[in-house]
Order: sequence, then structure tokens, then C-alpha cells
Amino acid sequence: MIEPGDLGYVVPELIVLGTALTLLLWAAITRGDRRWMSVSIALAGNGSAALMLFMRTPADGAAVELFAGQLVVDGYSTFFRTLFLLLASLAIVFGAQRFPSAPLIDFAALLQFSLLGMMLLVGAADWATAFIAIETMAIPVYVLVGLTRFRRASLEAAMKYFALGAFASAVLVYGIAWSYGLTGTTSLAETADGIASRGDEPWSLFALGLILVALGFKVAAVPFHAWTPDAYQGAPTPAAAFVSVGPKVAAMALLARVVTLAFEPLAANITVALAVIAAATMILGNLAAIAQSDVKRMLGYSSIAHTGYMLVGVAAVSQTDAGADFVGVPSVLFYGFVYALMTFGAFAVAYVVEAQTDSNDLSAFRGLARRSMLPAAAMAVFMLSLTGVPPLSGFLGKLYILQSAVDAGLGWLAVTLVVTSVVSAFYYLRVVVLMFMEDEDAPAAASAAADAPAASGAVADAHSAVVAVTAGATVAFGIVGGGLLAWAQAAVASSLL
Amino acid sequence: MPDNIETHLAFWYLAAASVAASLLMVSVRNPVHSAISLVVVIFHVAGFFAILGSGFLAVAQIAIYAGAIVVLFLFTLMMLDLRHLPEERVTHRQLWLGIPLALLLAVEAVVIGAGTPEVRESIKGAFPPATVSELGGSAEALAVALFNDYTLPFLGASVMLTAATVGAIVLARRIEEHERADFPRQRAQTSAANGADSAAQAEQAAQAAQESPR
Repeated sequence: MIEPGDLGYVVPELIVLGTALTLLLWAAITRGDRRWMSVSIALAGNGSAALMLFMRTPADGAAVELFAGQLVVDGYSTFFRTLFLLLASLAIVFGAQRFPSAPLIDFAALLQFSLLGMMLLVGAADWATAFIAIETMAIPVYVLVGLTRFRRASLEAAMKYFALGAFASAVLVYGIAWSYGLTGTTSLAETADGIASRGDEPWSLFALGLILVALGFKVAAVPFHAWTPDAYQGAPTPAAAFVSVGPKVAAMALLARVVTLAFEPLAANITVALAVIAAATMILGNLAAIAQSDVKRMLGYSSIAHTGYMLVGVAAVSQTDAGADFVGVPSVLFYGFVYALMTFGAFAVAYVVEAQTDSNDLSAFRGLARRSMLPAAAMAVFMLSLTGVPPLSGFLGKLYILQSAVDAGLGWLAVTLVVTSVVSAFYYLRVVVLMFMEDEDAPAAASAAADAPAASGAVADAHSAVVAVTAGATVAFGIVGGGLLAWAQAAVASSLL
Repeated sequence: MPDNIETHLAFWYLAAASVAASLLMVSVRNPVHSAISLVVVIFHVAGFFAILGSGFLAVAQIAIYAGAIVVLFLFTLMMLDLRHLPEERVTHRQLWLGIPLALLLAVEAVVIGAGTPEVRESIKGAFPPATVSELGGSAEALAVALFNDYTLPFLGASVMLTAATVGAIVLARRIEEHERADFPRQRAQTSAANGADSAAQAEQAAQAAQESPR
């Protein structure tokens, strides 16, 4: 039943849906170059959605359940919805650099559909909504990966991502069916009561295991990560940038809600499972990244490693006793936010190099500082922040995660995180060294010089703005990260968790 | 299931016919005949739902499985060249996965059919038979669930399907030459190949490429 009052809280989602449909209609009725108009429509929609998000927050900061308990509007969902609106807006500006008119409208419309799915997913309070939202998020993303459909690599990446994603969805539904069979409810909150009354019998653990496997696919945790490097490498760069941050962080948000709400009675088992997965993910992601020579592939493995870091936070969450204030959740929120911005920025700089040299190879970064100083400086910020060097935001993110892991008594996991971060310095700093301390190859320099007019045209001011915003935020949240953490803590305090 | 002679006759007919049709489906050589046997199975399974009092499920079964899924199979078969079927019988490796799964299903059917009190206890949900008959039937119960408790996912599903349709159209649309040419890397290559870097010349090159196959 839709209560008229409920609709007031989902105005941001309705605006995002309206934007997607407007873009499609616009594409049908106009001709010619529509790039700036589609960017304007999408940005205006996302901007007003963000405005409505803050104008219509629940009174007294409490969680409000809508649509017969299907959706919840709380600080937690508002935190993530803000991040997703920002990421989708950046991705559309990024896409305008990369795509000509017609594919850009497809890109923007599919991006808005995916954004809608992510916004619903972080507010899902029922398995039915969670499943529909996760599919609304994922299906457009498969298409985004294959958007440059005249390239074999792109289609292959889309096909792999789609096949594994569909398989993961099937496993998720199977897990949900088990959970429903055991508890007789699809509501996340009521599932917890049902699970608590059954204790940790094997069937509950089986249901939990299926759901963890499925969400492990969505966040790209080892051993369910195999699709990630292929998908990022084959996807057009703006799509790779969005896929590596948006759907991953949204799935992580659902995972944190599931372990703190629906399967909270099994917290001890969840911690063991997630701690092992997190350790494997950090180790394998970082080691495999060292061997990569393609920058998008390297960022793919790097994103797997960062999934591991976030999973440490989630494992620490479930270790906390019920009734305590979930120390780990705000650290996961913080990490998700800063991870998204720095990884997105790294892909944006990778595109600058791609437009200049027609290559995604790491060697193309050689001497970038001489060619274009600002992207090189921004890339240095992203790489150092991803490594976790103070005073950048990636350092604070890791610090908070470490703190919650130690508080939860997961010392060995904290040690693994530190050691793998040191390993990660090897491949992140290699990019910095290439950019600043080495001269470019003669052929690369020649081709860069030949392409100079095209390159300067290809990387316009709007794209520099994307790089600048993400780099600025990465620096700023490192210096004044306390403010973002305070927001994350307030968001968690007023949430259905 | 009403306990009268007509229902029993219908049940045994449906049971025999659906088992026979499924055996036919996996044993005939021509895939089109296989698909048609599958339609027969689906209609008979719908019959089971009907005599169990789930009229809506029976209609949905026919509309979705017989109407949509089998048609999809037939479309796929149309794209294959079926004139040259292999002579020898193919025994593939899925058989060894299929046999244990079939046995598992058989055990499951026996356990549920035997209906121990424990099993009956564990099969619960929002709509036990008493509630369903109170609401006036299975279609009504489904409507109550769909339009009261699950309105949001129901509406969300339509958005998801719209997104999926848009995505399918985007992927399947004809690739136009200017799309390739406008792609920066391609543009750079075209300009390098022609020794020209002005956009106008690249466009001409793209047009020439478009016209050449005709």
C-alpha cells in the first residue's frame, strides 16, 4: 500500500527515475549533437535529487519505514545516497569526454537507472526490495561495460560480468528462499527474530553462506573476484570508473546492513567467515596487482584489495556485542566514501593518458609529469592515498578500519591489513615513479606530440574538473576527515541496524 | 485437493501424461520435438496447480513457461542449423551431475510427501491455507500480498524491466560508423593514418569508410 506521506521521502529516487526517462525521450525526439544537453539533464536531476535528500530528512533523525516496511529512510541510506548521486554526476561528466552524442545518452540513461537501484538498495529493509534493487543496479551496469560493442574486449567483459552476475543473483535468491523458509518472513528485521529463535543450526548457516557468497560476488571478494580485472579492462574507462566504485560500495552497504540486522544472531560465525575472506582478498588482490602492466587491470586488482580492507571493517562490525554502538560501521562508511572518490579519480587520470597515448599500458605513464603536470600530480595524490600515506584520506580510512579491527579483537587481521598495505606501496608508487622520475620513451613522445591537438581537445576543462574534485576531496578528507567520520557516526546512530 | 472421483481421475491422468511427456522430452532426437514435449509437460503441471486450487498459478505457469520461455527456446533453435544432427547418441558429462540431483529431488519429494510433523512445522509463511480461503482464493491472496506488503518491489520490478529493455536495445542496435570514428582512440588512429588531424578530414574518412562496403 502506498501512503501519500511515504512518497515525500522518495522524491530523490523519483527525480532520478524521471531523469532517466527524460533522457530516453530526449534521445527519441531530437537530432544532432546532444552531449551537453544530456549532461545538463542528468546533472540538474542529480543536483535537485541531492537537494531534496536533505530537505526531506526524517524529523528527530530517526529511521522511517516506508511502503509497509519495504524501504527505510535513515541516516545510513542518506549517507550512501549522497555519495552515489555525487559519483553518478562525476561519471556523466566523465562519459561526455569519452562518448559521442548517441552513446552518451544511452550511457547517461543507464547510469541513472543503476543509480536508482543503488539508492533503493542502501535503504532496503526487506529481501524483496533488496533483490529488485540489486538487479536494477546491476543490469544497466552490464550494458555499460559492453557499451563500446564494436570492441571484442568490451563485449567479452560484459558477457563475463553478466554471466557471473546472473549466477550470483541466482545464489542470492536461493539464499533468500532458505531464509524465508526458515523464518517465514522477508523483512530483514523480522528475519533476525526468526534466526535468533532457531539458534545457529546448520540450515541457518547454509542460508547465511549462500547470501555471503552472492554478496561476495557483487563486492568482488576472493574467491569470487575473477570477473573484476577482465570487466574493468574491457569496459570503456568511464564505465569502469563507475563500476569499480558505485555497485561495489552499494553491495557493501547491503552486506553491512545484513550482518548487523538480519543475521545479527549469527554474528560470531559471520566474523569468522568474513575475516577469512577479508584476509584472502587483501593478500590475493595486492599480490596480483603487482604483476599487472595494464593500468585498468591493476586498478581492478587494487579494487579487490580495497574490498578486503572494507570487509575487515564489516567483520569487526559483527564482532561487536549486540546493543553496543557498532564501532566498525562508521569506519566502513568512511572507507567506502573515500575509496570511491580516490579510485574514481585514478580512472579519470588513466583516461587522460589513454586519450593522449592511445594506451592503457603502465609505460604510457612514463614522464606524464613533463607532458601534463596537473593530472600527474592528481594521480600521485590518488596513488599515495590508495597506499594509505598520511595525511591523505586513504590513510585515515585505514586507520579507522584498523582501530575497529583491534577493538573487536581481530589483531591478526589488522596485522594482515598493514602488511598487505606495505606490499601495495610497491605497485602504487611504481606509477608515481614512472610519472615523475622517468623520461618518456622516444616513440611514445613522438606519438604524444603528433596527437597533441587531439589530446588537448579530448581532455577538456570538464574532465579536469572531475580530476580536480576527486583529488581535492581525497586531500580534504585526509585533513578534515573528522567531519566525514562524525557524519558517518551520526548516520549510523540514527539507523535501522 | 477435493477428495472426489473426478479429481482422482484428473490427478492420475496428469501424473501419467506429464511423466510420459518428460521422458519423451529427454529422449527424442529432434530438439523441436523436445521443445514441444516440454510444452505438453508445462500444460499438465499447470493442471496440477488447477486441481490444487491455485488457478492463478496455473494461468501464470502457462503464460510464462509455455508462452514465453518455450517460445524463446524455439527462437534459439531457429537460429541453429538443425538439418545435420549428429548420428551417434551424445552422452555428455552433465549426466553425472544430473543423476545425483534427480535422486536428491526424489528424496525431497518423499520427505515432503510423507509430511512428518517436523516438516509441516517448517513449511510456514505469511499465507497458510486458512488465511488463503479467508481471503477468497489464491489469486486474491496473491493480490493482497502484491499490492499491500510488496507494492514497492512490484513497482521496482517494472523499472528494472524497463532498464533491462533499454539495455538490450542499446546492445543490439546497429553499430553506426560515426560511433567508431567519434571514439577518441579511433579518431586518433584515423588522423594518424591519413596524416591529417583536423576533425573535418577525420569525418570525411569516416564517411568514406561507411560508403566503401556498398
